[in-house]
Amino acid sequence: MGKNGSRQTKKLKAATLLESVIAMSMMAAALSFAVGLHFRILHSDQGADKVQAWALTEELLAHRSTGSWVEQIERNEDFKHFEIQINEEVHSPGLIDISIVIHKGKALLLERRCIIPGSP
Amino acid sequence: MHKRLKASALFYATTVSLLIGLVMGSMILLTHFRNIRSQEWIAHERAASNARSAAYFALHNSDRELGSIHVDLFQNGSDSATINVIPWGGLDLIKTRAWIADQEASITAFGGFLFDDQVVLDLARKAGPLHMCGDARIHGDVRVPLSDVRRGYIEGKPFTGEKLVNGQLFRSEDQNRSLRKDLESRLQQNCTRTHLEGEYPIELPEDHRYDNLGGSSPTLPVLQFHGRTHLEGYDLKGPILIRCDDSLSIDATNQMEMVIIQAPFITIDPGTRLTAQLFSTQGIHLSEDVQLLFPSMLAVWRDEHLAAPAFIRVGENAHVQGAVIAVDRSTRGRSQGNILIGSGALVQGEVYTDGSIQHQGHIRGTTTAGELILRTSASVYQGHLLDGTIQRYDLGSQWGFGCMTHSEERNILQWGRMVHARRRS
Repeated sequence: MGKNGSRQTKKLKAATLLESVIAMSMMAAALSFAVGLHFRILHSDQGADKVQAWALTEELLAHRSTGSWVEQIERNEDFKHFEIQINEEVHSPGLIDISIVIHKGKALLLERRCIIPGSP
Repeated sequence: MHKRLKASALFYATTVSLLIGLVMGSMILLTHFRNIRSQEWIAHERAASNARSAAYFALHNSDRELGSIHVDLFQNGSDSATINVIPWGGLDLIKTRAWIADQEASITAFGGFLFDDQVVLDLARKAGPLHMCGDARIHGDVRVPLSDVRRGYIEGKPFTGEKLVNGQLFRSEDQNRSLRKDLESRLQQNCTRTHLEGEYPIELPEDHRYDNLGGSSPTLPVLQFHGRTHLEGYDLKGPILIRCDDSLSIDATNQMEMVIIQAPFITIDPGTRLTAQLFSTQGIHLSEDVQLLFPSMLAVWRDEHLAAPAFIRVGENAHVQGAVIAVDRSTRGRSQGNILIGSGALVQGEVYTDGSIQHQGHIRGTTTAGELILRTSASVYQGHLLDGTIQRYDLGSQWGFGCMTHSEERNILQWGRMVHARRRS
């Protein structure tokens, strides 16, 4: 408060120019670290991708019995972010062993195998 | 006098940096916990998927009769399961348990066979020609003696159709087709109320409720009754076995799913709705409007020491989805009729008897019999079909009990409840 009671603003005091530079550098470093870590976490977080990949395998298996799972792959926007490899082998009469491997970029997201009725 | 500490730019910069660091640290922790959560969820789903895969694996396991076995589903050391296959009437009761990390899933299932309905009616060679009367209709291939199908006239009812058989006519084979061997032995075992391995008696609480749909125990619960018994108000979800040493009747107040009922004589009262396999040595009577849902079975195995024939009577407008089997190898009582399908009744699935059938309802599936008969108040007519219809199965793929099948192809007919748990160390 000033002598006559009015509000006065005071400048933030830095003892030296060096202190100012250090303070601003510290702030810039902290903010850069924050931004960099934020985007790195986003890119390296595969939890949501794995859950989505599992859901996609459920879609594939559901459509496999109808014979339209190739069309399903091509039509679904969600599939375009992933590389999918499907392998089928006869397990026993009337049963097949299906292996579904899903990659995103170079990272292996999910490998799922199951035995279901059907023929290759 | 103390001087107050003066805040400077460096102090504020340090404080803000610490705050940013705290926020970033929180984000890293939250992401880590979310990853853990998604890993847990995937392990949970993978365990359930492996439990189902193990059930399909068990369908073709050659050692399935040897009790509980451990399998490595995909030979990779990481997808393990235990399988237990128990004969359950005409089906296989499959119990599986799979685990991944600390997640465990168990499920029960009922395995069945594929049956062929290309030939919808197969009569024994000694039956004689087939006479079609009234509104009788056959849609599908037929195998009858000498491929002889004729128009008939019974009780003032001539044949009203245009074509006798809407399908191909074949000659009956020298030997009538026989039941699948292991099914035959199971029928005899269940009809004669032979005790099964793993049985243990249970007592129900006062509300007469029992739920075993998610049961992974290898044992079989048995409800034992003595003397003439009438069941009412029971709510049972199997697998569970009901055994009575005298006549047993069940009314429409009961709710039963996946049960086996064994008694010398069984009566199902009008309006009852069940999923059950019924086994008897003297007879089974389904009253009007009874519904036996898929996969159900009616089976009688005639006791050779009894003079009276064993029969299955499917009342008017009753509905059976599954199989109706009457085994009577004696020479007595052939003219009585082993299976009687009333007017308006519907059987979807397989019908088999080495005796005779009196059919005035609807069969959608396959019928194998010694002969068709028609019993009126005046007489018994052999080789006559009056108003009954026979056509192919219309509930999708022909999965059922596979009475006559010799195919190795198998499938799960019904799933129980999936039960999840955390593995104890």
